[in-house]
Amino acid sequence: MACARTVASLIVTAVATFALLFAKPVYAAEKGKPSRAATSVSRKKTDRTRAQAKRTSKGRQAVRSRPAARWMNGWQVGWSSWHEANGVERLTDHSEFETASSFQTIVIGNEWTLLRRRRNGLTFDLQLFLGRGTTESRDARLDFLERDELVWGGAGSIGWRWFFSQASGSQASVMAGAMYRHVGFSEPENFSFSKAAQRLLYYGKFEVAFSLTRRTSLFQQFTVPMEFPQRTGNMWVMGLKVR
Amino acid sequence: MKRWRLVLLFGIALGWNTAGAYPEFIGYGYRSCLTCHYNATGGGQLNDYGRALFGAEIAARPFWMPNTDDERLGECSHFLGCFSSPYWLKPGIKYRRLLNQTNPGRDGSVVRDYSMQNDFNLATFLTEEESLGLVATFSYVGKPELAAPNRPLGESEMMLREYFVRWRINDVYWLFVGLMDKAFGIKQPDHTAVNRAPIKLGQNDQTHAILLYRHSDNHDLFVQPYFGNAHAEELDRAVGGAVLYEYSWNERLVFGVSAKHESTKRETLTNYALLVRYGKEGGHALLSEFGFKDIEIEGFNRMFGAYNYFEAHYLLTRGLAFQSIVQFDKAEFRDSSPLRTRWGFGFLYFPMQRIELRAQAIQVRADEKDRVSEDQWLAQGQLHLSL
Repeated sequence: MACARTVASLIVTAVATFALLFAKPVYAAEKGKPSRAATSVSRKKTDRTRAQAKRTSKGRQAVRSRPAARWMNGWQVGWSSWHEANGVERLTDHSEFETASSFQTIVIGNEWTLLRRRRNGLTFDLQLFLGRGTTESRDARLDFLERDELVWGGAGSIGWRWFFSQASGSQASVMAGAMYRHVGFSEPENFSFSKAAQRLLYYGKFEVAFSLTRRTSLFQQFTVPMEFPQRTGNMWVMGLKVR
Repeated sequence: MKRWRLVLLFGIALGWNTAGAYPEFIGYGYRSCLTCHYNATGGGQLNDYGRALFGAEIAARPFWMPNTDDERLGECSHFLGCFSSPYWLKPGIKYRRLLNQTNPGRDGSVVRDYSMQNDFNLATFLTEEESLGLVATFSYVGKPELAAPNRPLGESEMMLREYFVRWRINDVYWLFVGLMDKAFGIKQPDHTAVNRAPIKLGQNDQTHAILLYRHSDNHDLFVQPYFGNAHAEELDRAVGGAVLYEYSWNERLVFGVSAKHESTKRETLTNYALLVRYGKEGGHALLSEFGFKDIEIEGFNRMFGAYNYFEAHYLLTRGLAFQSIVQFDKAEFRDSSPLRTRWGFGFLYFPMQRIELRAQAIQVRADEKDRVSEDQWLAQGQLHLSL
């Protein structure tokens, strides 16, 4: 188990490092790609050109294939709802606890999309979670115990992103990553949580984002966290991205 | 070809050059339901223009004739194919079937097959401009309980889902009198959504009403006093009224407010909603409705809660769309009341005119303060024929 985690962590770290180091050169190497400054200065002219181009079928094709939204770097802010079975392993006198957890957190993230091709690209993101939740625990003697808990954690992931439509900038991504999570307990007098509250999870996630403007989009994510080889629950996130 | 152009010109002449049947179709620039439906609030039978649009723009080209001209597809979109029936006889058939599996792959998984809609539509008009006419929908329900709160006719298995007189008073005002849907919020096809059935806007919640519809370039106003469904049990007849106002910022951005209040002998229900419909060039759309609900049931506490319906509709290619839908529901603004959410992803596919296919995965979840409930998954497949 420990070996698998280490290997997964190394892979994630290596790919993320590669992505960060080589992002710009890969992007800039695209033929005919104008610089950011040039794009900004000639935006009005470009708009006129686009309008003219749309009038012909070849022009329409050209406009469609041009990436309108380049998510080189962006911020995310959102809300997540997160359920886990056996989510918190509590090392107490009652080691046979079965737990189920439910969390609602705020999510703040930063992401980089590296457009290697026109309609898809490598994406890397980091997310931080902060919120509260409930954990329900049961063992043979102690029926149910409920606790309001503070939860915080971080997640890093890398994956591939597709643009539904170049003109609108809407996109879909499939990503995988690792997540570190700490659970704080508001009423810890009955338990000893020192080790169990920290947890490293691996996950796969699927995301779609609806482009509102050139710089903003609404996104929805579905994440399946795992503690190899067991699936531990699932998480939904929805929010806003700003480039 | 000429007939198709006439239909198109007729639609434009009426002033709804921007309109929508499924609210998602604002992504094509269609924001008003009346463009494609005989009913001002959408749903039900498609008119000739709606049929032509379905064939020429919304649905994929039939696989056996991929190079057919769109105009030709529009011309052959009638009930009898390329033959257009006269204005005094406009029939239609709607069939909708749902296959629903709860918790796929888990113990206790249940598969159910719902025959949701078996409707025969008929519209008849006194003039070619269709300014005055009668629109009716007969529905086969099978079992009487499937019609609730409506009831089948006598001992039969048939129900009248809607029937109304439609009168176009002038270019701006329309009047509808009869049995019809209530004019409230975003009317999307999923009648089980948080903004439909739970607030008495379900599949069979039609009511006898008078609906005044005012349409202008940027403003749409629906005013609808209603008197309950006279076919239903007296206890189920909800008397009240609904108002819906939409302002079109442009052809692809609509803001709206809506309110309704109704009472039966057992309960009183009041709803308010804010809505946004946003279309993006290329057929993409975003819908959101945020509403409040105030329910007072005789013998129980009054409940004041809220809901939100949010849908993102991404057109992948002609006829095929991907949808992500999030729904929130809080029955009461109290800590003890769970926040119920329905998260879902799915595909909506029109392989050709007259056929709609849907596939969806939905997760139903209740976030509670003092307990952790198990999630439920739903896998759904749906077939809709609109003949």
